[in-house]
Amino acid sequence: MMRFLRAHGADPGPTQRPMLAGALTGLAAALPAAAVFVGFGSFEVAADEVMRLPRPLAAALMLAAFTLAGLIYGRLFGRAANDPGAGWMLGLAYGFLLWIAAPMVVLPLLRGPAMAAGTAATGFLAAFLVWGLVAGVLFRFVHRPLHAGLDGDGGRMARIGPSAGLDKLLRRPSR
Amino acid sequence: MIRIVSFRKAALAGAAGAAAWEAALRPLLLAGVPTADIVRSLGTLVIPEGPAWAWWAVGMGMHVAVGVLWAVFYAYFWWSLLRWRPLFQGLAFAIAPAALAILVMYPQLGVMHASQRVLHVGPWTLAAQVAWSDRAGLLLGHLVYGAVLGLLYTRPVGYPAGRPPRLPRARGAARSLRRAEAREGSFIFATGTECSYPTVEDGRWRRDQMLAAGHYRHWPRDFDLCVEVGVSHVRYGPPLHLVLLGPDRYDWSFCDEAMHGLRERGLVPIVDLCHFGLPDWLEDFQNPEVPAALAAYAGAFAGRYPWVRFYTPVNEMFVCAKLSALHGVWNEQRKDERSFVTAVCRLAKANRLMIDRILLRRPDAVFVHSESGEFFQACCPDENILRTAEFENQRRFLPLDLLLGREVDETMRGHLRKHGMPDEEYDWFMGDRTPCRTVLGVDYYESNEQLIDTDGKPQALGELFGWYVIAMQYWDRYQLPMMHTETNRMDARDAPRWLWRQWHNVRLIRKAGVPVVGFTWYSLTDQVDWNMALGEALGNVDPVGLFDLNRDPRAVGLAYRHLIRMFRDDPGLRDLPELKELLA
Repeated sequence: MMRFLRAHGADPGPTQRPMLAGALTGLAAALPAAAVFVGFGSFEVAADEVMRLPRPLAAALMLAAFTLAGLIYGRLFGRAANDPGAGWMLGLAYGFLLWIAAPMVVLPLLRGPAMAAGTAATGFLAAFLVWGLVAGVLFRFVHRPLHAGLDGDGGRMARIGPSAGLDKLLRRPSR
Repeated sequence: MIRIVSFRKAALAGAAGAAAWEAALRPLLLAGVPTADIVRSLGTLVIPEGPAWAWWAVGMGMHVAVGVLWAVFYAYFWWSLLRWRPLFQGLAFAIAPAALAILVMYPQLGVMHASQRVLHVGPWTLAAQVAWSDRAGLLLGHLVYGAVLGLLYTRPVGYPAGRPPRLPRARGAARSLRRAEAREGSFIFATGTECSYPTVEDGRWRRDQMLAAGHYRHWPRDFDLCVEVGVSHVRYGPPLHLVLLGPDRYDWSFCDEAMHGLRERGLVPIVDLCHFGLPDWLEDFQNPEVPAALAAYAGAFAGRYPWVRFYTPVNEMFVCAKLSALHGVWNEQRKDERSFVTAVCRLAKANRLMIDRILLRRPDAVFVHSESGEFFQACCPDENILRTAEFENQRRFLPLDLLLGREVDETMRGHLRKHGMPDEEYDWFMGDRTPCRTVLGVDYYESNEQLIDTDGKPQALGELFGWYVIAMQYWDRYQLPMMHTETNRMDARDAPRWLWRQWHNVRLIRKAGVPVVGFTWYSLTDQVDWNMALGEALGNVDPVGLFDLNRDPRAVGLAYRHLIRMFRDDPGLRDLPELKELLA
């Protein structure tokens, strides 16, 4: 899939900052996801019985994890994450994959075979889907103000200036 | 954007797939077959104690919603990755959600139904507990879903040829209008909006690049981007198939707005009147009525927009004839020499008549004849292969030879006679009527150089000799002012390198005394299905633009802007005597 994304030009290029945008988006999307966690009673189960950590520490860890997940989302999807038509779907799919990975694989590996059940389990799935959906929709709005414009080229000259015409394989380091 | 998705088609296909699953599995469940009842599992999550119809309705709604989501995922990531029939694409795709359902989703639905808050059990233990009959039911349901999805989700781009869509309302203009700095007589830095509109599938399906790339909706933004990049000229092709509705019947509504948009931004359009397609009523390039109909259109266009001076009456005649009548990809989709010769004659004749009509309205019009710069290299000293290469190297010039009244060699003359071109028609073309303001545009892509292999078939050779060598062959033959009218690169990360290398070709050939008056990165935005010549309606986005389809700049967009700023005031490019002579 990553080869496919690259082949179709998902490379963000020198004007975009997808990882920063992803991290900010991930953090922002954690808020509605947290509301779902709490609403379904999933948070207390996760903190007390699955992670077995003090609740403030568990909450901080979750926020950090969602921020990191957003950063990885931006890195993975790059330019494609800006797509207004498909952003929601990319986010939703990513949230679903995180749901499979986090409470079902990562936590059991780290803390032993304990998983939320009943309504709390439904809350887990719903929270990850909400996080993914919100992150996918929000990404381009968060990202756009972070774009560097066409003006100014800073450190991008190697990618866009006359030296971009050099053959990379034959390029010699300057002394 | 990496792919154009038809959300409506995907939603319908996904919903139909979910319904088909239920229609296939419900009778088995009612008959007492012990297998997974996914609708019940979903419905009783929300209504654990309600009547059967209630959980069924809720469960079915959730099942359909999940089906739609998977269908959108299919459309975006999976569709057309495998060059299989749609049915088999759908069936292959269904294996992924089936595996997820068996290993993860179905066991988790069981966990969600549990009365405890925590289960001390690992996910893989849970997956192992799913009964084989449930697994079989889930697999069967997914295969039914995949088959329906595959069959229904096809052709996400384009539209039935006889039923053009209503064009979307334009949006996205900059708040304050900026104007291009076009300076008469200066070297032309250009880009273009890709506007191909051929039909495929025996004339039933219309490809429309402007629609696929969102230009009808975003044209104000697109023109603003041209100004931002710094180009002075835009190769622009109004949609002939939507404007020319019948003999002397025109719909100028979109065209009027877009042409005004170009003008108010100070962008100089090089208007491309026929780009690889025809309106439905003209059918295809085998139709003898085409030249007169296009000539009338050109006259009407020039009359309506008298301020337009630059024209490409027919774009890339050689490519148009080759793909329509020799390779069987577009329009008439023929694959024989006679049809090819006919198409070339129609295109060249249309071009000539269009020039005449435009000159009646605008006697000082400048004609930029954009043609694909091609070259064929023989792989080995085999006589047949050498002959094939030589023939192809003559054939590439044929449409221009006819248009510009240059005699072809004896082999080609015999070929034309043999395939249905009478001497009177040939003589008509040889009449000396080349207008004085003519620029020869030579397009160049990585695939333009071809090797005639040991089987006598052309194979893409990549950039071997380069634009300089090939353009020089066209210069030697026609001795007309020239322009690099199209280039791009499929690999977006390599595009800046390609841009600079093309530019160095232009500079060197100018130094050698060839009057090259302009350069074009084609196109402004990414294109759709360009890498397979629009032959199938797949919706794959090719990252060849200065901007992607979200209108975010690509690295080559920045590079081109940088290049223009670096060279537009260069003394050797600021005042071109050859261009001033053309415009005088």
